Amino acid sequence: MKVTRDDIIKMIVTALLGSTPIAFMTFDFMFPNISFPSLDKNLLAEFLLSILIGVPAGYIARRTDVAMMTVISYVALGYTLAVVFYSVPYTVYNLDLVLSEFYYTLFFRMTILLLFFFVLGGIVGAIFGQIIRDSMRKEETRLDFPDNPKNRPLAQEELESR
Amino acid sequence: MGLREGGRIEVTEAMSAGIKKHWVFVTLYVVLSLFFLGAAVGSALTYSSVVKVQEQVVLGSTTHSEEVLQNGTLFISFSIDVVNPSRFDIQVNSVSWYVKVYNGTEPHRYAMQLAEDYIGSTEGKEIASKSTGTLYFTAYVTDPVILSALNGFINYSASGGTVYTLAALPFVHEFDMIGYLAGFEHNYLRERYLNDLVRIELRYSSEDAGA
Repeated sequence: MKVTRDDIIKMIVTALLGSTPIAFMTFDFMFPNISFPSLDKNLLAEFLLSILIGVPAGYIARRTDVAMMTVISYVALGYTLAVVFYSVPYTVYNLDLVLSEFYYTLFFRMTILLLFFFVLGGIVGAIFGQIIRDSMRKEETRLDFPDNPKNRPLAQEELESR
Repeated sequence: MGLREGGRIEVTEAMSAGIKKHWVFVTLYVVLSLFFLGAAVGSALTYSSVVKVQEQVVLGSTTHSEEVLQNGTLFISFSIDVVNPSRFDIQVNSVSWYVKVYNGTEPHRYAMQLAEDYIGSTEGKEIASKSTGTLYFTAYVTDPVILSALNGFINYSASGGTVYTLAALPFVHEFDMIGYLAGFEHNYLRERYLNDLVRIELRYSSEDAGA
């Protein structure tokens, strides 16, 4: 099945909106003492929040593969944003950076583990999102067609007979 | 939803219809995203300010005086300014001050320590933001052993052609200060870079300054 333009637009929008929490959580994981509000390097909190962030990817995307791609996209974009925020003192304020290789190595060493949490949490969240969307659609369909015997609430006798 | 001619219009319309239908969900998602964007930008700016403080906080004017009192005691005083133009208060963790006279030349020189003082974190001293804190130290050298050593140094120097008096010896004042930016956690045992990030270290030696 071909990926439509609609899917791509949804993926881009979701990736843009989902990237900011990822960027903040990564930055916060690096500097929990100066960021606000801080999760204090609590991996469980990071994982639960990444599940929450993954929900829209599953809710919005029609297809599972697109939802997974969306998760990977927003995690990649968010992590890149975090690197940008990490560089702000040296790019925006032009302060002296000593040993730039070690500076970025430290960042990757401290935060690389989070990528797995974000992707895993995002996929779990996307599955939840799909479950929510499907159950809402079912509910909508049932409300739209009340005359359909399948959608009619069961009478007491019918329930008892079952 | 399939695409046909003029598909872009169809997509836009379908998306706006989708947004209208799920406006609560979309609004929550946008608010969540903007909240984290704000938090990330704010934190990055705080990080920049914290890094900048390392360059901003400096030691200011220093003065020192030495005089011999009527009872023969050597009185030494020293004051130094800590200039803090940043927006953060600095909690003083430790301050140490030493006064020495070096006998001999490098590498075979011997330090005669005359006085010292120490301020620890328990004193709760702070250098307020956008202000200059002045630290003032005094000491009385009364120990006859030290005084006789100084007199010996004066006599020995005189024999070599260099004339000193007790109040005009080549005193070396050394000052060290370690502080932390107030309000930031700095007691990490494993991630020590976090402690270093908010730590201010200042050092002065009258010997290096040529004073």
